[in-house]
Amino acid sequence: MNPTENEQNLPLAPENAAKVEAETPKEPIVGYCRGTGKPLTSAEATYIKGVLYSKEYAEQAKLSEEPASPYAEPMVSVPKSTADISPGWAFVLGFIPGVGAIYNQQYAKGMFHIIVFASLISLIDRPGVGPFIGFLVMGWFLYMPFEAYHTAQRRQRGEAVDEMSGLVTMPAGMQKLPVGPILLIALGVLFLLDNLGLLRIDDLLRFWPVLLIVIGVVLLMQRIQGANGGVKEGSGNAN
Amino acid sequence: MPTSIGLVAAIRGPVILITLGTLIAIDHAGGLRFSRTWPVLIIMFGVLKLAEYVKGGQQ
Amino acid sequence: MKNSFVGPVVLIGVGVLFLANNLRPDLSPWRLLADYWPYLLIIWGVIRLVEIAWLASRNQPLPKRGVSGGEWGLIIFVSLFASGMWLAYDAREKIRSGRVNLRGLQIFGESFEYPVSASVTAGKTPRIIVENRRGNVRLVGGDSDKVTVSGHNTVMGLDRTEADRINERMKLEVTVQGDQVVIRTNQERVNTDNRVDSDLEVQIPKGASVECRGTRGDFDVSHITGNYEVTSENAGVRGQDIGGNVRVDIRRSDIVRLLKVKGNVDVKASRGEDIELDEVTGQAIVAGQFTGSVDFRRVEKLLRFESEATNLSVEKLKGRARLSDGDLEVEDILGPMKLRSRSKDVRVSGFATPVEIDLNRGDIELSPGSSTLSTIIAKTSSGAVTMHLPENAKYDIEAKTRRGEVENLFGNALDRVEEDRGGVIRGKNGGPRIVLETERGTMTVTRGGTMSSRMDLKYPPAAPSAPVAPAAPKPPTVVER
Repeated sequence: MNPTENEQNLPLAPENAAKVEAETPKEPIVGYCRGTGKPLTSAEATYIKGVLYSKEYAEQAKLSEEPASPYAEPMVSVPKSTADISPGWAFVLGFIPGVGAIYNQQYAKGMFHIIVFASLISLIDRPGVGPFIGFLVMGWFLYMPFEAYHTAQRRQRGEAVDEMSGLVTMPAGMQKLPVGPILLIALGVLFLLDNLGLLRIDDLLRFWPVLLIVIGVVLLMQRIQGANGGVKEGSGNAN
Repeated sequence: MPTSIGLVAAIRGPVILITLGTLIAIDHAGGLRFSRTWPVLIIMFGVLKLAEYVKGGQQ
Repeated sequence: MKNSFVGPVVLIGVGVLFLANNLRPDLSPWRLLADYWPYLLIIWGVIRLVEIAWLASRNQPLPKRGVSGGEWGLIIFVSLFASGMWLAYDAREKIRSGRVNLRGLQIFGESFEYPVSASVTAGKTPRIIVENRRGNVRLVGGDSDKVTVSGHNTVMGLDRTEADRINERMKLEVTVQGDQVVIRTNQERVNTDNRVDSDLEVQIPKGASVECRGTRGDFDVSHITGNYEVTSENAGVRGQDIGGNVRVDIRRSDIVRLLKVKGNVDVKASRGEDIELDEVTGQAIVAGQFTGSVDFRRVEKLLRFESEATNLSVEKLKGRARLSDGDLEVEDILGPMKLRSRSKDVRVSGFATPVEIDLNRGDIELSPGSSTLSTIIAKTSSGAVTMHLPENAKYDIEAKTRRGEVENLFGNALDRVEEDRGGVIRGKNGGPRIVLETERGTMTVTRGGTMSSRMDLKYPPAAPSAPVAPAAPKPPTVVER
């Protein structure tokens, strides 16, 4: 865990200083001023936007908690140099399940992608599933690189990305709904029951066309919402 | 200030790790095989993610 | 978290491991790692959890992720390494002790047999539940009120002491609760590395109902008046003289064979091989994939067979319905029949009731063998259609091929017209509608006798397509495993 990542958001000087003081009792040097290079004790040190300065220097240079200009604003959870992010690479890596998301530093999403992919693959040879699973696997296989590409682009532009963001924008009413986690739990319960012999996924898969219906209903809801008013349109693609 | 959402996010890794260890230990001890119990990991992960959403909603 | 405790703790752990090795050379650190690495993961997680709880309780900033990406990498590496080691040790031990399992066949090891027996008194009509994970169980109904179990456990092991120890752990249990008798072999208590089988022979009151649960092994029930149920992963299921209903729910099976069932039969199998039903007084519903021979005889009510490629329903099957890989043959039916299939050569003979056939590919040969006909609709997208029309029958026939020959061997009563690339045969004398259709293939209407059944004795297959040799009736296979 990189400590600077947390400290960027929060001025932590007091706590950190206290901690350091506890470890080295006399005149501890907690760091060196970024501006002057002077060694600092905890009393002299201050954090401005996560960087250690001496208090004197901070005053002189008029560094403050307030960002001087919008450009100086620290970016949230975006690495310092966006030049390192390549959407092309993200796309290529996206073909390997989970790796595209990991490239985008979205570990939870990467794991989610892997789980979904593995689940689909494991269902492929069950009898009676028809072409459904095949299409799903293809669909998912293509979704991942595009999603990674899209996310990488947004990260390149310096936008903050939610860890579980996706390509599909949910209708406004459902946006707050934790679809990913619910899907995961459902998948887990299904596979567990199947593994323990309490239920057969084969039997359930016969109802796959229900999924088409659900997707249809969701799309319909989206259309209706779109038609109902431009008021909500702004929030519709906020994700 | 640590928030409860941060707390839930932070314990996710350790909890998954403990679950993984427990499942494999059960397998080694001759109980239910890991090949049968692995979906528990997915469920745990989902539950923790869900808890994050719930906590997030409270604030 | 740079100041995590995991690093030092792991270091201490490694130190202890090697120290233990130095002090007691018989303890290999690798061996310990192989055995106890799951606990390492648990400890790792617990330490992290405690640290986070501690940070939270002191209102200190929490890390965004409890276990960082790099750590996960390390965990995966350790897990792979240790489980690889575990497998290696396990394999080495098995080879050394001779417990190597190759395709279910244990080489090196010896098998030891232990007799088991038990007996309890049950009522006249008990409900008997058999739970046996591996092995064959045969239950036979009789006049006694007693449930008598005899048989043996077969244990694979290196030597007798090991086998004794394993046998000790599984104990045959027969418990009575009200009118319910539970027979349990308790194989679950044995580590699955050692193969154990329990083969039982059970005498039961003939009024009993039987429910069998297992993972692998055959069940054979005969002479009871109650119901018979089987649930298993992989089982051969046999039943004879069953007074009640039969329900079979299995994933895999090499054979399902049910003879003389008074009630209904319901078979569900994901991947089966052979199935044979004979003398079913009720209805029979069979769903699943059967790769071997499918043979139904004398089903008095509805017979329904559903697989991925074929959907057959026949009412009152007096004769026989037989399916194999590419053929379907139905003889002697007293009720309507409906068939839908992807690819089968179909022959139906001995019927006077409505017949409906719809094929994607395959030949159709119909020999009603009766002068009173009902509506017949038979269609195939690709294949020859042959109709043996009885001489003195009443009919309203239209037999059409879109692309192929039309042959009228029936006589002048029917008109033959060639159209485009195909043709049609028409004729009516006030009988029921007969619609025959093929998209591509020869259409033949010929004279047929009025003998019922056994058409292949009377009429050599006239179809230009490959003549289908009638499959030899399968000798009753008594498979003892």
